[in-house]
Amino acid sequence: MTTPTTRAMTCDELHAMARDLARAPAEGAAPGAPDPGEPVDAELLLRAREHLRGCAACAQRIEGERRLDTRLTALAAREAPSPPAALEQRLLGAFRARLVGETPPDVVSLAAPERRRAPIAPPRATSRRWPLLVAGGLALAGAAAAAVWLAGPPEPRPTAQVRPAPPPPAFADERAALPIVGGDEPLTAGAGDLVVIARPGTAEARGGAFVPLGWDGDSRPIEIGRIARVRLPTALAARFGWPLLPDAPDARVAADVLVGEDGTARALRFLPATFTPISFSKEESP
Amino acid sequence: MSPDAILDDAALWQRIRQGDEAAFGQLYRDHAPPLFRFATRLTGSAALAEDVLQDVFVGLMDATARRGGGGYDPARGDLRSYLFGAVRNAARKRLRDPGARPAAPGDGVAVGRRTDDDSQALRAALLRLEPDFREVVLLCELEGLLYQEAAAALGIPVGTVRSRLHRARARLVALLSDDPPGQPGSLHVREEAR
Repeated sequence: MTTPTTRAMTCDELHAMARDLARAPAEGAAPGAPDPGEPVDAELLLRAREHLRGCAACAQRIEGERRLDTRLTALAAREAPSPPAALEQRLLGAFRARLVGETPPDVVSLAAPERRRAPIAPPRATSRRWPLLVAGGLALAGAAAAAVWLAGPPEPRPTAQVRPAPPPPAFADERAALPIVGGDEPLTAGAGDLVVIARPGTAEARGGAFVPLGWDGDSRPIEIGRIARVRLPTALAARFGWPLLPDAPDARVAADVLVGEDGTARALRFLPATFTPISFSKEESP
Repeated sequence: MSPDAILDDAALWQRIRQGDEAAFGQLYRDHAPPLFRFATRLTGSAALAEDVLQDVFVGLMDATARRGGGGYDPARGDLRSYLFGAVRNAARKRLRDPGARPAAPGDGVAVGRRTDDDSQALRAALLRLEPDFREVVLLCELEGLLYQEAAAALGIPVGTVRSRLHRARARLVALLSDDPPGQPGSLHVREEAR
C-alpha cells in the first residue's frame, strides 16, 4: 500500500521494470485475472501506476512495450517449427546401439547426412578442414616412422619408413593388396594420407574399441568427427600393445583414426585381421 | 519449476542413465519441439538447428555413459533449463564454424519497413540482435521461461537476465521503429523520446 511517505517513482525506475509492468494485469482488472508475466511487487505496481498517471512519455513507453509483447506473442503462436521425424529415429537408433555396445561410448556420435549438411558448410570451409586432417595423419605416420627407426636393428633400415609416397600409377596395385576389414570402402591414398571412410556411429565405424590418444591430456569425448583409415607401421601398433611381427618390421597395418571436429587425431584403433605384412616390404618398394 | 517437476526430471534422467530407451524417447518428445524452435530462431536456420539438437542429445548420451556422472544434475535446476542451456552452447559452437552460415539479418526482408508479414520483420530484427540479447528474448519472450529459468539456462545471474532483456527489448523497439504507423493492422512500435 502506498503511504504518504512513499517516494515517487522516477522515469528511470519505471523504465527498468517496463517489461513486467506492461505484462502486469491492467489497472482495475478483476482479481484473479491471468498474469502472463513475472509477478510485480504490489507496492511497486501502485507506485508505477501513480507515476504513469502523471507522465505521458512513460505511459507511451509502456504502451510501446505492450505492442512489442503483442507482436512477440503473435510470432510465438504463428511459428512452431518442428524437428524432423528422422532425427528422433536417428537418435533412438544411436541410443539403442550404445546399449548393445556396438560403438564405444565415448566416441559414438551421429552426423546429419551429407546431403543436408552440404549447404551448411560451403566448400571453402570444408577445404579448410582438410589440411588439418591430412596434417594429423602425416603427424601420426611421422611419429610411427620415428619409432621404427629408434627400435630397429643397427643395419640400415629399409626405405619404407622414409620413402616418398608411391607414384599415382602404383596406387591401384596397392589398393588391391590392402586387406581392409570392417569397411566397404577401400583405402585409396598413399601412405600417411587420410581417407575418410566413415563417421562415428555408422556401421563402418563399428570395428572395435578405439584407444584414446590423449594429446596434451585431452580427454574430451568425441561428439562430431570423422574416422579415417590409414596405414601405419607395425612398430606403432607395438607401442599400443600389439605384438611386433619380427619378420616384417616394415610392414604396415591398417588402422582407423578418429579425427575430431577440430582436425586433431583423438583416438586410434588397429584392425587385427590386417596384421599381415602388406605392400610396403623392402622388395616391393619402388 | 516445482520441486515435484524436478523430482520427475531426476527420475527420468536416472532411467535414461540406466539405459531405458523409452525414457530417452520421452525426454526427446517432451523437449525437442521447444528446443528446436529455440535453436532455429537462435541460428536462423532449420538445418543448423537440427545439427544443434542432434549435438545436444548425443551429448546427453555421452553423459549417461560417462562414469562419475556428468550431464544433467537435478541438484542444479530443472531439466528444461539445462537443455535450453545445452542448445545455446551447441548453437554457439556451431556458429563458430566458419562454414556455418546463419541466416543474414536482412535476408528476404527489409527490416523496419512495412511488410505483408509482421512476423518476418520481427524475425529479422531478432536476428540482428547481439547473441546475448537474442538468447534472453527468445527464452523469456518466445519460450516463456521465467527470469530464474533463463538465468539457469544461460548460467548468469537473474539480474543480468533482467538487464539484458530490458536492453534487448529497447533495441528491438529501435529496430522496428521505422514501421509506418497508422496502417490498418500495423503493429507500429516506436521508441518514444523521454
